[in-house]
Amino acid sequence: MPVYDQSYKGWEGKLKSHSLRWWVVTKYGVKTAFKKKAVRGLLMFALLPFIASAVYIYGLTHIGKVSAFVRTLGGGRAMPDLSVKTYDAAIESGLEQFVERLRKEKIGWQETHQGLRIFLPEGENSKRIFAIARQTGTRLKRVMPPGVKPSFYNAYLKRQFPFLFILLLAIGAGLIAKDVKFNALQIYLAKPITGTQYILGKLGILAFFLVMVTLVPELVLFLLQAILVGDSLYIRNYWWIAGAICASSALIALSGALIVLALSALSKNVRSAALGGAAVFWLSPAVAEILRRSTWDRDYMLLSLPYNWVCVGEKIFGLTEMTSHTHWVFSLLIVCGLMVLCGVALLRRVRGVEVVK
Amino acid sequence: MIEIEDLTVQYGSTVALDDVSFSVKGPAVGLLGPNGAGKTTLIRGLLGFLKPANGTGRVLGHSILNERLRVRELVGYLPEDDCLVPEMSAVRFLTYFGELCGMPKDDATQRAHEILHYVGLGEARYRNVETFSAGMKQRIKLAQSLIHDPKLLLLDEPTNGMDPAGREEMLSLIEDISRKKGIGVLVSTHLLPDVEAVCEEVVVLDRGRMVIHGNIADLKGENRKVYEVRVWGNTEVFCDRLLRSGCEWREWKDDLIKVSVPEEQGANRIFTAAKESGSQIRHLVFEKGSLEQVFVESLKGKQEE
Repeated sequence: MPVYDQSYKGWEGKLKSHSLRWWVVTKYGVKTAFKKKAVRGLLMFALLPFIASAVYIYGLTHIGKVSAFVRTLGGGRAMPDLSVKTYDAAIESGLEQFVERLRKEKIGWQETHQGLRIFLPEGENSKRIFAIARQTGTRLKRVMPPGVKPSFYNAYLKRQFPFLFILLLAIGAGLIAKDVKFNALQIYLAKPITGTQYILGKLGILAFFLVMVTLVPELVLFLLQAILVGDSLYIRNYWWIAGAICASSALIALSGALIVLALSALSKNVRSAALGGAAVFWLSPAVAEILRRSTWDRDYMLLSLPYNWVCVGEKIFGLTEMTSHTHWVFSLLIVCGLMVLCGVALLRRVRGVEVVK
Repeated sequence: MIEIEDLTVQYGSTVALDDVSFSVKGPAVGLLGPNGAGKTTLIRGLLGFLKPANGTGRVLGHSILNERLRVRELVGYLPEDDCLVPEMSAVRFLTYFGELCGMPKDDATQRAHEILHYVGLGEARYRNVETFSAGMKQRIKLAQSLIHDPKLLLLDEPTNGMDPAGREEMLSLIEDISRKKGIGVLVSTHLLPDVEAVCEEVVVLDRGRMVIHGNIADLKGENRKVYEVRVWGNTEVFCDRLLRSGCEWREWKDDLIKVSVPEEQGANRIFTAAKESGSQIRHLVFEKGSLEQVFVESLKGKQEE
């Protein structure tokens, strides 16, 4: 007599709603990718710039105080103790009264090309500066706590490009190509899941890994910075950096993932898809650079996808000193156009049946 | 179970299904036809993979045009081609598709184990699916089609690439599913014995058109006896007498006619008709009806048309 009945039994449960079916594809895809040692190793390796940046931020907020103290000593100005907080203040009017008051209250300061660098004793914060300004009738244009600037986060994204490309190709090239090769699409789409949900699910896999090397570390660095500065003024002044990080990372992750997925859907061969991706990420900048140098026409740089990402990123982060030479709108249009093209290609290719007319 | 009305499906300028209409109740229906008849196209149309150029259809009461997701919730599909998701064990493969259907993870996992045992892959359930043999791949495809406890199975060449023993087992599984588990089955194949083994109803397609549709027993003439007869004398009167006595007849080849007599009556009816018409029976052979005969005859008839 069998211990457990192994014949067919019905299932009495209720199926979940359709809306989150794509999440199942993402969940299984992420788990499958995580099983690969190479992917885990690459993710660990991609964390190195994060660790270096965290150390840099920590050092900047601590060692900066010491060096400032040394510089202040050289200038002969008063300095209460080693534990100070540094603020950069831009002053519109009333500079003399403001400085006089700082002297009286024995608060260290030094002139910079943007205004004043003020050294407050530990325990004080920007409220003290605003109070002095009110008392002396000084009009402050801007008061900034110390720390890294928006350009730092933009540069961090650029430094992550190599990891991003390798991850995209290592994980993304086979995501749809393998399903096409093994005819899995018809089983997927015979289930209650639409082609769009399938694509979203696959997109989610890539987005997860891309976000792991761009958005997540950057936001952690931003929070770390805010904590180390220890002044709500930093968040108040720079809250938009978090938004810029999100927007910039999303643009890169979404466009990169769509391009690789479209290449993957267009080929049954994983290597071909990976080669196509490599051409987009590495060959296009090289070709663009060669054309630019040989013709002295900077517009050729628009042929490079990473250049377009950088160009749009610099605008998103509001950088004044741009490294890009073309208008950011063109780059944004190119990236968006590519995304639309890839989306259309994906929707056309992801079908339960391949129709050869 | 399935209702199709004037369904036309085209691949570019090629008409794969031409104005096909039928209604089947099940529980087990065979979809027969030579290669290129449109069987797979019909199944893909039912699943909503292909947009019909004309016509409509309903599966288990749901429109194949407007309720595709609902149809897919109720239907399990075993494709003709080798289909699998690589780098997954059989259990994970089934759990994955169970969850994709909307089952909770725990239920999907438990059911994956049960189904794998049911289809005979219990011992191989932790092996990666890409390492499976052809027969095992057919079984895992059947398993994935059953994972969400569908009400109807669309099986496209389910015994393809299987050895005789495996084929027998697959057919008994399909028979068990349709007769004992209350799940409707549409078996698309060009192997007539497969349909005869598991189905009660059959739809025959040829070059995108429906050739014949009905109960297999009726089509085979199992409720009637068929004789091949040659008479000498007045054939017209003989045939008239046959009709009057409740027999059916049709011309076969040369001067032969096929006479179908109700099961409870024997050849006596034929002799009586001959006697009444003043004809002589020169040739009388009892013919055992088979689906193959029905199939071949219906295709011939359609080609002659």
